[in-house]
Amino acid sequence: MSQVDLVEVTKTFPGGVKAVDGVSLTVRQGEFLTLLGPSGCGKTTSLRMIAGFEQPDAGRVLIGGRDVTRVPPYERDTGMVFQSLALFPHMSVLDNVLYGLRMRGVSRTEAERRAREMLALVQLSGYEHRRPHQLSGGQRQRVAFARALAVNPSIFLLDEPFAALDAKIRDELQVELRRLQQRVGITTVFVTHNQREAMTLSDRIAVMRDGRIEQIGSPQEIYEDPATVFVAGFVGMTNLFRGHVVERAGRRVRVKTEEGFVVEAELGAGTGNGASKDSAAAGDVAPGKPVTVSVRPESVRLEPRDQDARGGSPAGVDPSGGGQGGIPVTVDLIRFVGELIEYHLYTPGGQEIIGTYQRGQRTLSMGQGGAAIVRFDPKEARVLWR
Amino acid sequence: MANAGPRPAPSRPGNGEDMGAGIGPVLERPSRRRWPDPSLALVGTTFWVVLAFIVVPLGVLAAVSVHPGRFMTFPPQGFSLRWYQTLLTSSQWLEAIRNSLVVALGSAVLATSIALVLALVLDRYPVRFGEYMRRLGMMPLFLPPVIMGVAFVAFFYEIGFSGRIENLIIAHGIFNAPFPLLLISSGLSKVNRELEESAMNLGARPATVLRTVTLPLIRADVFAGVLFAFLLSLNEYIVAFLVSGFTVVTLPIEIFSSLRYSFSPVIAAASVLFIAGTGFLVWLADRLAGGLWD
Amino acid sequence: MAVAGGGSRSAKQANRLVYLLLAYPGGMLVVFFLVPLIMLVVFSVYRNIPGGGWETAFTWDNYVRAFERGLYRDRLVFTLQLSALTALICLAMGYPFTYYLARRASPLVRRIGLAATISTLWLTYVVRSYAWSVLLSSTSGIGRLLFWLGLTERPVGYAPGYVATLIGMVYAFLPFMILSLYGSLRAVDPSMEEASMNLGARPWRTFWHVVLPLSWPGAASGTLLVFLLAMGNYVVPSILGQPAQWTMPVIITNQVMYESNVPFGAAISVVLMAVLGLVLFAAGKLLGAARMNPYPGRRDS
Repeated sequence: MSQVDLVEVTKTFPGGVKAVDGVSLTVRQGEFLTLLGPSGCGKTTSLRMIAGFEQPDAGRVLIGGRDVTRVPPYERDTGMVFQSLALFPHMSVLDNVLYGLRMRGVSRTEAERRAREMLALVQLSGYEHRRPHQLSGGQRQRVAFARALAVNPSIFLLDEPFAALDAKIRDELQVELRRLQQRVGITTVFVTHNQREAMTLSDRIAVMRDGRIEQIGSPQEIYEDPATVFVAGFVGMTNLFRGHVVERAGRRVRVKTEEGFVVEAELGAGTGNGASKDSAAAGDVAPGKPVTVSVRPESVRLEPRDQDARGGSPAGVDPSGGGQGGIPVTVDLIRFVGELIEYHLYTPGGQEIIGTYQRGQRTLSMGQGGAAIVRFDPKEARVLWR
Repeated sequence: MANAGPRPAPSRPGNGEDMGAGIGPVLERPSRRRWPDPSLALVGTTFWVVLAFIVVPLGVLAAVSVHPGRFMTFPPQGFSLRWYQTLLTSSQWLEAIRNSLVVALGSAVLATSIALVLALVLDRYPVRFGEYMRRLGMMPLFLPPVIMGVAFVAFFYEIGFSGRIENLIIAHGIFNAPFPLLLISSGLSKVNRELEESAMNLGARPATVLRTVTLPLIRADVFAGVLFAFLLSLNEYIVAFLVSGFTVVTLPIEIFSSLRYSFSPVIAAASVLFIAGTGFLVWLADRLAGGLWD
Repeated sequence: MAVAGGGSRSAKQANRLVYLLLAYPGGMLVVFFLVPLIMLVVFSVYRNIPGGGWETAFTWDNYVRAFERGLYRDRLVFTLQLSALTALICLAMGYPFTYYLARRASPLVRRIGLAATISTLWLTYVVRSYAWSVLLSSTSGIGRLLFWLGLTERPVGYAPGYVATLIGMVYAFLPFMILSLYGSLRAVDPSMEEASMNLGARPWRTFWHVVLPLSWPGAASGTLLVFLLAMGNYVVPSILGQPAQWTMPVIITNQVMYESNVPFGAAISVVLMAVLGLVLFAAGKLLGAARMNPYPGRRDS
């Protein structure tokens, strides 16, 4: 169990693609950290540099404080679960788990004891002599966990290991992975493009984009205080309103959207903590600056609107009264998504707004084509740089 | 389309009247959706005729080989294995069989060893020099064997080392190398790179990865490569004939030269043995390589 | 892809190891393949000493002889014609056969057809030609059968001769054609045929517009392959043909083995190689253009 440090790490692939661009990152001891981002953002390359399969062009990789930048993968003592799982098809389950122990020169009996112990831990006792292709997807996954952890590595690395599984088994295995990781207490770096997976598993998430880290923080911080428009849009659903700052009082900011509505939002507590230069530094937010307001669908409140109000004061906005006037919308579609009711709304200018209610929560008795006003609590709306 | 009605739909603007023409009848008479019977029957008949064309000559050889008389007659005059007995007691034929097996085995090992090393190194380190070597290794596939044979004749004459069985082994080893090269390269390309990385991640050094992961995974391809090279060498005539310079006689050479002087059914018996052996090896190689043609 | 990992020092060591490992296959291929090919060209300008042997020289005599004598020109033209005819007959026989094999036959029939094709593919040309020489002989084959049936007055032999040579050639290379076609015919998704019929195309139209264009590359490469193999074959014409059916490879072999004129054999080998190279080049141009558009003048298929 050790800490992992990436120090100003850069990796350019032949052809000039900068996969990782000056990333600095510390994975704390015992922590479950997720590298989250779209494909091509550099998350897998970062992981592979920790494992030693890629050499950074610049910067250093430290494991437990020791510089391992030039250490080959077989001397790094990391346990990795690959995207394809990479179970050896020509070996039994037991031999797969034994492989790493044998490479470390552990005696046959001791290695076998340890391997069986690991298989018991992942609830696969009795499957020792099966071949990987005789197992189900979930069982293969657990063998991969057992194999990587059997050697007691100092770091646990996972590269999108759940990508090939169906949703139900994926959920079960996520719980199991988290339990396993906490029981062993091992420092873990997990790579995924699935934000839900990242949210449910991680102690901290590093959101990556174009080879850089956009924001790093706990799932809650990332969700509630996204540092950039990209993070807000990538992690969970959000409604974005582009506009200009009209007025600012402390953290509270009044913004006039491009459609001409005035809305209020707050600067997040985490605003500016991201490594990316795109994140809004609180001090720079001043009247006239272009910003984007992000509002989560669950923060959208719908109120009935008199159809006639449309012609009156500009779009029914009431800038005074401490709150905000709200945005007039038309209900386009209502969907029932599991325990949520999802409203698809359109502003007069044609921007789509999505609002969700918990089923059973008080909702409007409003059908498709109905007129409504969207409001939200400024505390739940975030001001971000464009 | 559903409302096209019994009459052909009027031609639609833009996309051709061919399509409309068929719709009405098809809807009315679904049986017309199948092949019209006459054309399928024609294709089916052709199939069986061509299959007979392929199989019958070899069947006739088998018949000749067990026919007691020197010449095949109709109707046949009984059954006898005397030609097989003659074949397997003749020192001349046994010598040819022995030579063939030695050359086939030696050249198969040579061809596969060249292919294996080349394919393994290039799979990992695609250096330019190696890519040239790969192209060179594939070239015999595109060169007529006669020309290869004459080239070997010139070469072995020039270095003053001709008419020896080693020459045949080398010539066949080079000439048949493309097959194991293709098989092993494609086998390697199917090995998931993450398997090797995974082994390394678990602490295996490159040489250990090769021994414990890569080689076991391409074992079938290597064996299939050996088998194909063996098979090709066993059946190859013209390169062997040219390189041997009348001194080393392999089975195809013996059959060929027997043809010049006689028309003995012993040749048919030898051919049948040949067909059986080849069929078995093809079957084995196909099993190993996991269905090469389907 | 840095698999070996390690520092720059071990990377340099790995590099040295790569070249060390490549020395074996590279050395074998250079010494026993590249050098012999060069020797072939070198020998073609040596001077032959009648009665055996040759002397190192630089003379065009061998090439002059190859082009001056009508005999060799005729043989080359004959070889080209025979090979082209063989390829076309193989295509004509192979296409319906393979269509049925790949798309219509039951699994059992398909296995039988493939087994027959593949095992004959590997069988030495010597045995395959011998089989036909038996079948076409007056003593044991079709001639005998026809006589027995009372259709001819006496047993007639058809081998050796032109027809026998042609049959033998087709027999020798048909399996190559079938396997070339098999892959591309098998690759046509049956649902495409169904889609075509669903859109209202009759079976023949479906075949013409869907299956044929998609199997075109296999047919083209099969035809080319058979042509090239036929051009280089020695065994079939020398067993099933009379001197009038001898092709270039027979002439070459006779020069080298029976006339002991290696320099001249080498020279006509070089000529043959050049002709084949030309054919390959032209075919590559033609196929490369055709592959993009199997129906010249139409863009919709």
